[in-house]
Amino acid sequence: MRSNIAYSRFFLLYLLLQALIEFSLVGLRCSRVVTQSHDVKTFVTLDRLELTDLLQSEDSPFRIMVSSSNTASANGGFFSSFVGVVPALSWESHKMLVSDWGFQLSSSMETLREAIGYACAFDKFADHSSVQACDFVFRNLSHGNGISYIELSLSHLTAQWNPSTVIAFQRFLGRMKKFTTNILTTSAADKNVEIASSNSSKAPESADVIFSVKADIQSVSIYLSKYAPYCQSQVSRQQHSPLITIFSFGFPQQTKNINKDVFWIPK
Amino acid sequence: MKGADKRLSEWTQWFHNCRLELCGLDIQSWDDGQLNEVHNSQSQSLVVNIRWPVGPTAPLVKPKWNVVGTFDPLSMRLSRKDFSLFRFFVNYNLLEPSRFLSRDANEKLDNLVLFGYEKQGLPPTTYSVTLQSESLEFHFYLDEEESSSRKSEEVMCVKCTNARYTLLKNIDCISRQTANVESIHLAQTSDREEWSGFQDLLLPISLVPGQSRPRLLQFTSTTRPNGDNVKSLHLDQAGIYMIVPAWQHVGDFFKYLPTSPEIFAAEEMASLMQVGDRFYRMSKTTTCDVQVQSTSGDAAQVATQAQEAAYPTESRQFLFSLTSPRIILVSDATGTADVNSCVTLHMANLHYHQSTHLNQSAQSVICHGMEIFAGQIGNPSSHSSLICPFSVCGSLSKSLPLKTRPQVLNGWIWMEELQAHAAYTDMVSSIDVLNGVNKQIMSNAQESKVNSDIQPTSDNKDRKNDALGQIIEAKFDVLCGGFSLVVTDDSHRHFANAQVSILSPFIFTCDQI
Repeated sequence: MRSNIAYSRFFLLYLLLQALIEFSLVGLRCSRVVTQSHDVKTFVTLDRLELTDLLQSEDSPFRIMVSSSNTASANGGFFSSFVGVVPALSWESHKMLVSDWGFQLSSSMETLREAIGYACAFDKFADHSSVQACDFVFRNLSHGNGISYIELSLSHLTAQWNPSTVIAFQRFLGRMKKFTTNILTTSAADKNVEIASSNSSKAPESADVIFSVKADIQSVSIYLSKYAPYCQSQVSRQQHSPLITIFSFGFPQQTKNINKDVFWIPK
Repeated sequence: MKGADKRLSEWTQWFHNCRLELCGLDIQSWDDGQLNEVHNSQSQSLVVNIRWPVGPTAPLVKPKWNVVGTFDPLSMRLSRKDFSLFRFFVNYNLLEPSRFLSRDANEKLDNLVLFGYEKQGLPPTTYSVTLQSESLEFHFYLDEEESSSRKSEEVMCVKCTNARYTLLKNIDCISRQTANVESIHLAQTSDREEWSGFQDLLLPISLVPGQSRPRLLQFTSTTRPNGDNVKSLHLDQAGIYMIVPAWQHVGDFFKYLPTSPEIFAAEEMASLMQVGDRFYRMSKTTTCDVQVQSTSGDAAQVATQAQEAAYPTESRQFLFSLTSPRIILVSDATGTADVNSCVTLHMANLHYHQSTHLNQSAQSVICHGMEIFAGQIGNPSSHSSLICPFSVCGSLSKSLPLKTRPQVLNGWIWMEELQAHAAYTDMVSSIDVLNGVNKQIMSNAQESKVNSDIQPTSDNKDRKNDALGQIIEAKFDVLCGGFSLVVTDDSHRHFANAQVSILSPFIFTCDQI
């Protein structure tokens, strides 16, 4: 159980600061498997991604800048269902326990290990219904002979251009640049030296990779908006509909994939 | 004497008591090197009280021998060779496993040194040894032979207060060691410019400014007669300056020390040479090696069998626990910069457990309530953590390769949702510190590489061979609740008409508590 004192310390700073943007990723699951035949399988799933403009009022339709929410993930996604079956990570229940001879894992840790093994099992990633609740799925299979298959699935992504937020963010970056000029200059100089030394020491290697990329995107929408950002009056969503929808496509009803296979065979 | 008193006298347990007072304790190594700082020869340096039972009920008193030694403040100066010798002395005199004599009677003991403390067939001796001192000080240095500058070079200084060491062995033949130190202070004393700005690497935290509040270090080690061992090290409220190259330099002092005496087999006698009281092997090629080379049929199988035979048969466990530690990372270890940024990691609790049993090994980590504070050395401006208290746990298990099964590696990590906020100053400090730590690591790696290239020792070869050992099957899973980053502006130049939104996340999240 997190202590309220620690929480209070964490949120104390909000009283002095102005929150600009919140970037959140929900439910990240990753698994990497190396088999006896030197095949490497990598799976990554993400339940939800969201970028929020905190300068907008709570009821503003432009508060959410980027969102990947679909129906399945909005209902909780995979992770919320997983959290329900594992105990909360508290110290008393997860710490190492004294056994007859030495120490042993607590029952909570054993439960957690089994639950993660179940959640990240290979067939879970292959199961369509299991990954349906995730907005982002990445699969990579690299064979020992150098052939790789990359598969990327994105259910829904909605982004909207909001001039006021972009200006605010630019101002933030501009101020930060003043502080970090020296740091970045120094690190860049060091990196150049390292790159130069690594280039001199490494011999050029011939690339021998054959790969296939498959992208499966259900819908992507980008809106260009014009809106008085700090207007205090209550306005309906219809009154502030996007000025221009610059890019929107989707295939919600039928299974249509945007597939792009790239094969490159070196000489 | 009346009857009742006589009976009482018969059943009274009597003890022999012996008190030894040593003055002017002078410890020297085998080459007459002075190891300790000799104080006034007239004052007592060591007082030893020994007590053991007598009479008909004496065999019932366990442990039989009770030894309590109290040192005056002791200051020792040890080189790597001296430390190795000191460790041998403790291991093979106080803790020597052959004293238990619980092995098979048919086993030949020709190759072992027996000290004769025990008699075979009789119950083992039980004892309790306690050594304590108000102040212990160890100075470690590299002598002229081992220092790269060919001059004697200081490495570190360890100061302990109110230290107490206990070794207990009861009739179950299990030896239990416990060391308690009220306060420990480790400082690097080398004159390297790269980390000259920070001498203290480990020190107790005083929570109240100006008030010294020493905390405890506890070490325990329990060993069964068959060699099964459990160790634990606990540090309470320790402040750790994570100066990577300095810790590496300190750790290197204890690396590659000889861990056990070299034992020669009878077949090797022809290839040995005696000089004084020492034996040297003329050629590293033993008869076993010759046999292995001659049977060139299946070299890989022979190597696997040899590797399997080398696996330890005893189980070992080690638990490292920290309570409320503060791990401090700094951007400039030289201490010459005008503004020296630092990032402090604070954890409520940490457990790191490592266990080895036959061909299985496992490591587990549980970190609870981690917070990160950014600021500057000497001016910790930020009193608020950059992240909400965060917990993470994980495990890594490895099975060593067997003849019938490949090497298997299984790991997993579970993280709660990480909630963070980042402001100008915090981000700048964090970037500065990350950049500085990266430079420290890179410079240290380059130096290690140069040293390993210059001195290709057998240890380096072994490490290269280990790295070549490929993991055949592996699975690693990571599950994270999520990541939430709130970018904030602490310039106090807030955007117009937007102040109302400052408190919105605060109110929202407080409702969740």
